[in-house]
Amino acid sequence: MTERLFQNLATDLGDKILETVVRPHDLIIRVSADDWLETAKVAKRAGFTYFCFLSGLDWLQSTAQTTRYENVWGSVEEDPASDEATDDAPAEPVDVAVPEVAAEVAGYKTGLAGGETRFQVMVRLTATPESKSVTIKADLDEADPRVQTIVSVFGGANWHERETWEMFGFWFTGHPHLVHIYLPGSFEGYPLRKDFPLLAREVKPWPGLTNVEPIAGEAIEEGADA
Amino acid sequence: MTATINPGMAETSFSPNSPEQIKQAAYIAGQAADMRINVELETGGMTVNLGPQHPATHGTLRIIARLDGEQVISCEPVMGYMHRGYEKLAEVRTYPQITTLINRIDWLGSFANEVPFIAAAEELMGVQAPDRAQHIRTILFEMSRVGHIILFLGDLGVQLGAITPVFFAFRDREHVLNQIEAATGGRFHPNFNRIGGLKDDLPKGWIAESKVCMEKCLAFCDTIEELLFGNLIFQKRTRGVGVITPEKALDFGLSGANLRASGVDWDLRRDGHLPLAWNKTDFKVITHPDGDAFARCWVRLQETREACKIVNQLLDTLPAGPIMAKVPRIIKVPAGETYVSTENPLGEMGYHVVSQGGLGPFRVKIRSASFNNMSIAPWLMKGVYVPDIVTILASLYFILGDIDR
Repeated sequence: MTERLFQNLATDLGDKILETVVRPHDLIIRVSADDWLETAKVAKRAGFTYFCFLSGLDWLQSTAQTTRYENVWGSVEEDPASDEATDDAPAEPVDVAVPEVAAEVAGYKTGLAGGETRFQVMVRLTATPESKSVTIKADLDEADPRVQTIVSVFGGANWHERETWEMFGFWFTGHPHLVHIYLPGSFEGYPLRKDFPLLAREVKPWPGLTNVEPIAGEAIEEGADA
Repeated sequence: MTATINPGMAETSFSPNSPEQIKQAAYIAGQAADMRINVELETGGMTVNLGPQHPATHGTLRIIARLDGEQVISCEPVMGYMHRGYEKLAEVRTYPQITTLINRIDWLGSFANEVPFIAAAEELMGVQAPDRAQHIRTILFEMSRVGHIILFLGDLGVQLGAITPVFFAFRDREHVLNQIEAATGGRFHPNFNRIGGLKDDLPKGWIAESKVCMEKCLAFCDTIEELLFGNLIFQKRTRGVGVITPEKALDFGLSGANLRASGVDWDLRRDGHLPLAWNKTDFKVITHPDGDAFARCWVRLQETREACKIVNQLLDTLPAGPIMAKVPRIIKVPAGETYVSTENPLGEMGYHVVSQGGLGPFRVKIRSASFNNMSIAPWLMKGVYVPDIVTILASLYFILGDIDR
């Protein structure tokens, strides 16, 4: 049953699929951004009619945020190059000592079904009678992340695309009403991008100065002088 | 409304020849002119602001409705008054710390929020909580559903103009909250789930007390069914209002009772793939073919009864054993990516967790039910009358923290 549902989709999409990961209850596929709208249409025809969510992914390694607390916990040594990477969008990602991830292409450690660029847009659709889902991902250009809207296919994508535009700065071509949904209209920047600083963490290093219990063999000088 | 006015009223064959008669003629002509203005007066173009402090919105949702007379031409919900940026905050926290955040997404069903996130982390780590922990999780999950929906049923009355049900609701919800507090230590924000199990075992005597509590909740359901659902005014105000077809419901990603009230038979407790204890119980998935406001409320009422049934069954079959699996002292989640969702009181609540190895997640996408459930509102409210706005909002049932995250 599962296999047939997934196979039908794979047959309908044909060579549009760049990469596939099959798991027991869901399928993760990657298509190119040009095929985004068409893929959504095909998936809906294939039976994936329930719109679960649409969102974005930013695969930039955010050194400022991750190394800070790992230092406190004493698990990962700080990379001396990491401080430079925090200012503005770095051209090259900085390696942090994390375990190998499924795919590592062009310097970005991406998740399931791989990826070649920094930004990805993803949508999850479900076939409710079988309770099987498909997650569709598409790589977006880093300098100009834009993709066609799927509001005409799934009405629910309207607000999700507005949120994704607001949080990641992906432009959805043809969206009927692409305006801010959570943040005030004058807000600048795209908060969920990895190079957007979380101000609270810049002002006061995690986990705060008053409640740090020293772990044996670890000094917390870094937090003390900030 | 005044189409039957005689437009020739001013041009009657009445010829004035005395000062009084001239005065009278002027008066009649003036009246006719007034009437003509009334005929031509436009009724469109009125904008009504509902909220952000309206009592029917459970928080700070603002709705801008453009009216034509009593009819809504278009409506736009404005969110963001309570946006807290949990997705960003989760990126700078460790996994055990994130449960504190996600408790506060849907604050009435806090325990239910924790479960899918913890399950996602467990899946990535390859840890499975022991049987007893899964059972207790399911019990508390369903209890939080009961408490949640009891408040909905009471609140529903208030929003439609019936004051009494809410007093019953607050009284009987307290029984459930007491039980949750006795087990977890927190009425609203239990923070009780741990990766690999639970913080504590159940206290002594809790099972017997819970059974009494469930009986009280079932009695509440009977009361509210007589009080509200049997009420003619309630039926007139909800039947046929805000009808959602199954296609539209799927299109907008409606979930939970809103989806099942449109006749789509899909419940993640039955159809999901989590190792929780729902598959060991016998319960019905409630659906209704109508898709209107009444159907949505009715499905929730019946689901509360089913939830009580699930709790009672699980209390009888609670297995013995440990409540924590063996996990390292400092939780590090290996690299991977997964999406786990459960059938929360409001609908499908899911977390897309991306880990790149380390103490905290690389990215957490929170898929909350109310966000999708509300996104149908602009479509649904086209052409309805003003009092129905509140009926539709009440029947869609949202928690603002669940929309704004």
